[in-house]
Amino acid sequence: VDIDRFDAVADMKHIALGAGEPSSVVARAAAGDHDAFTSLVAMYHADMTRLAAAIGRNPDLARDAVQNAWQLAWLRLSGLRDETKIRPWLLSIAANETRLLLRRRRATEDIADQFILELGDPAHHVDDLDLNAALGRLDPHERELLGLRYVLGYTSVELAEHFSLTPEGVRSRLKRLIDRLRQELSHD
Amino acid sequence: MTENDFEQRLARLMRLQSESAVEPVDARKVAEFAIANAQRRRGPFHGLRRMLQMTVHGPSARRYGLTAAGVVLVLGVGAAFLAPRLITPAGGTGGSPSPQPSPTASPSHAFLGAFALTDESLATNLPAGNYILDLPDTRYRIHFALPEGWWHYWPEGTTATASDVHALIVNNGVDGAINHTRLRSAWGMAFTVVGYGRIRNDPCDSSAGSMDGGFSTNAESLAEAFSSWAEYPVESITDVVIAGYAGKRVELRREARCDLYGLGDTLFETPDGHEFTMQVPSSGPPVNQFTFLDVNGSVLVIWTTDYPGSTTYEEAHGASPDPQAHVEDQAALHAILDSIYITQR
Repeated sequence: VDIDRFDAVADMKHIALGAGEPSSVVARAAAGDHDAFTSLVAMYHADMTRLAAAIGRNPDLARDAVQNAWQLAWLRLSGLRDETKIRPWLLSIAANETRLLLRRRRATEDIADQFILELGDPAHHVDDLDLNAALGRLDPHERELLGLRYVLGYTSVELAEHFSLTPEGVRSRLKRLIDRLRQELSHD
Repeated sequence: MTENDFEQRLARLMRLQSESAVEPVDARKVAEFAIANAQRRRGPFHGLRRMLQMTVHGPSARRYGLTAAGVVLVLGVGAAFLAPRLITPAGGTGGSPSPQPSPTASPSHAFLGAFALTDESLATNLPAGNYILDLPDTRYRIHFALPEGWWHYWPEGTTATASDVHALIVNNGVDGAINHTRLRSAWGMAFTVVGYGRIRNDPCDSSAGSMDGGFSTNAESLAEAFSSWAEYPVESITDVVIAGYAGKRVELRREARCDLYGLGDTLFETPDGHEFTMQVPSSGPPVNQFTFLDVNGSVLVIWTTDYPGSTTYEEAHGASPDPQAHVEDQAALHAILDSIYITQR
């Protein structure tokens, strides 16, 4: 199993590295080139899944949302105005699809917040349980902000672009959110 | 614990959890699965939206053509400018005499020798003159006059004769709307009809389905349907009378949060499945106008982009941002709308 996993990772890297500059890959994929589209999947699938997981807090839901996102990406890729924005564009689609799927599934079934603490430093385990629960109570949009910042490392400028805010506005929103989380934990 | 310590702890936990969802995948399988499902999702008539999307990257004439059609459709509604002239006193803004909704044929001799817009030989810059348009499955004929500098487009996958969407887009002077391959404009108007049961419940969520078909049967209910979208709030609704036919004009604003992909989202589809989105200026409020007219038992939709300023589409195709762009085109657009009259056929 491990060998299979390594092979799959190596294959994705090979596809991504052999594809050329992202912008040219985008242009080819937008023109209907399946290989180029495959290269985009190889390059961005993992990050999209990470973000979807941060928002949805359910690995299965995250994977389904990202698969849906790729469908939309294929349909809408030719409308992307700036090829250099492919990563944020794909992440936006993944985030949106995750929120939609979350809303839809919550309306019809009981979607469990599946993130439990299996790993990490045992010394922090109890504290992390509280933090984990607090994250689960956040609105998906708020987890999107945190996921982009802390999982994918977005800068405040990138966050501002993603949320159509000013960098100051997004820093302020992030600070308020962090303050709220800290306050919740101090009360728990 | 300092704020910095807390952030580090938060980041560590979130990364740990997010990483647990990432599995190695076969990128080819993911891509092919997405492509196959996307084809099914799109259906046989993806028309206008596809056109808009494809022109961004597509080197082919076909792609540019599609974009043009999409743009045209968006433009078609533009009734905002009509308000002072066409709105009835009941509409609250009219200063003009109240036109009676008594559709009678205007003198047909006025349009003797008119061009048929559906003549595919006219898929280029349209000569100035009088035009007629017969939309499929309708019992009326639309007449209007065009000045120089306009262009006709209809969606990919159909013919001019069969298309249920016809757009008039302005030559914006960047590259001109000389032919399908060089279309760079995104400003104008369109004539079309709404498909039965094809108004989206939520333009931002294609999976949310469509409204009851009854909403597409008359101007009043169409206006009601178009007023129900949270992410497309209504700027105004007014009563209008155009060419003697009464109807409603709805001006919608597109909220940025709905336009996550930079393309707008589908509001409705035509009977043939062409998707309508909006085309907005890069400066000024992102507003389009939809005019619904009850004409002989069906509803004619006129969609316009009646605003000054270059569109985001044009800027994506090399135009410089210009808040004053299309100011003169607005006068031409109003003149076209003023020239419309409708006869039975």
